[in-house]
Amino acid sequence: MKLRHSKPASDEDEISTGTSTQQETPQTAPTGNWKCPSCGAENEDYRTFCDGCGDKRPGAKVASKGIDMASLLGSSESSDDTSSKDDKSSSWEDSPKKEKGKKSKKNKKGKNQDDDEEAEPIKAEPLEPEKIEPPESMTPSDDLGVQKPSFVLTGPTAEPDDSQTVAPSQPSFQSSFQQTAQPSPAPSGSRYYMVFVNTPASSLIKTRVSIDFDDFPTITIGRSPENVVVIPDQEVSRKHASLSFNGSKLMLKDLGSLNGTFLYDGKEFQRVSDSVEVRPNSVLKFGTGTIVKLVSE
Amino acid sequence: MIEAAEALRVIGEAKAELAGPLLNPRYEDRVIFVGDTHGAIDVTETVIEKFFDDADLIVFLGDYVDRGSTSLENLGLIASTLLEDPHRTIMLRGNHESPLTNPYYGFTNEVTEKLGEASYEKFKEFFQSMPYAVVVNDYLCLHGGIAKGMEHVSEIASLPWPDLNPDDPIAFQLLWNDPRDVIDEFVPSVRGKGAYYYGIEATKTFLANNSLKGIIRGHEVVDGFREDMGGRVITVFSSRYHGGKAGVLVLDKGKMERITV
Repeated sequence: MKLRHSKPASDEDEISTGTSTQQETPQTAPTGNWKCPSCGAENEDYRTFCDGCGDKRPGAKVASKGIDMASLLGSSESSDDTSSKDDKSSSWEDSPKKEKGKKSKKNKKGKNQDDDEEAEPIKAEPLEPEKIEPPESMTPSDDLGVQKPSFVLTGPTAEPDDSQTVAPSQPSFQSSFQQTAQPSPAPSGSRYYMVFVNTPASSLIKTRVSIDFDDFPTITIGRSPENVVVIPDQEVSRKHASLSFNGSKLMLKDLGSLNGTFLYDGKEFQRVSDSVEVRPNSVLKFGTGTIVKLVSE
Repeated sequence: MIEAAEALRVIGEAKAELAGPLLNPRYEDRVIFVGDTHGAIDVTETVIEKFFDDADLIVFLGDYVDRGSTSLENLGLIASTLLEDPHRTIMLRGNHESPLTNPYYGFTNEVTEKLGEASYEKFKEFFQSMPYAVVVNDYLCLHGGIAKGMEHVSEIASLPWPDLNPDDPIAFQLLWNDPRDVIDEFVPSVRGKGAYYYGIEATKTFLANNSLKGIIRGHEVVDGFREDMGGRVITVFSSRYHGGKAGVLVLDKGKMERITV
């Protein structure tokens, strides 16, 4: 819960980048050679940025990174940006929650498991799948389709894909995470993997995803594409959890996810309230439908 | 095509053929295994037309109803096969043969529309008495899989029976568990409280303790078939609603043949 503060912060980074770029743009652009207001250097007319200090020419029309970013991020993110930022991980999940304030419980039962031939076993109280469907129909239609490929490329190999689709957001997202998490370098020698035990996208079951702490000292896990590991599961929050080393300890941290991050204790899944140490062979659950096992070699 | 009213009559009579929670082991030359059909009556009809005549045994692995509009007819057709030829027909229970799922996945509505609400009671009576498992040619056949807390197949014979939901935790797992070879023992399943994934070590131990070759089950949507645990666990899925292939497994003198219909 405390972590909620850090999450919006990272989002606000993205947002402020966008808006400030726009605000810097005055209405009229002067013509002819110009003098840089920052360093005083004289610049020729064609220059959009100061030859001396690199500052932008006053009034210059530069393609706004912010606007590009918003469009690149897709409808889910941009609608998110314009909505309240208090808990972005759950903004689409809010409606079902409000509808029947016990979402976390109810949804545990039915949710979007059609794929997997689920009917919830839980005793016969009414938990009709129709009610459970709303999260699915409310989600942007591209969700599974877009995220799945990006997931498949996730891990070290995902970078090219990420940079094409969501590159603008990645630096700020990563850096803000690193500020809060301050991971230590991973102990060298072992390679880590996440193996999917279960997830609604059933083709991913048994899939082994390499998680490389050299490339990403903090492995962020969530539903949105800027994560290092993207999980196409409606019950997983956009920024759900992270894995990083603290000294020699591998720590699993819940990032204020709506449906929780859990560690299997050999008997049941215990909810992670802030962060907890995990080890190779730990079994983790994200939300209600995704279970992974950590493997190291 | 069997009529809904006929289906109701048939399950009333076929109930007499449901012998207990665990059927006697069978050894047969040619055995046909059919996974979840979920109202896919065309699959059931095709299987019976094409494969039943020269088979020594046909095993239906459960989940005949829910998720379609012809569940009643599908259930009726399988039950009538059992009624006509009980020695060559095994009709196991699936997790959807239960009031835990029927109100939410369509069967209760279908019965109400076609026969009236009160008729559902007759189906509950049938479901609660269906067998959970049988061993055929040293393969354990059941809908979901092995259960945490069960060491021997013989324990199934002494489970509470009839059991409507079922409520017994072992019986529940037999119908609800799923295999996952990426884990070793048992891990709670996302399907809900009381259901587990069974891992490779749990499976190997169970098979060794019971002198079994493997497990043949349904329960999960796969494109006809899936093998887990190095072939020790075979999933057969025979429905249509998932848009994939309907699988039929034929075991003929130890040789396994995977057919899609």
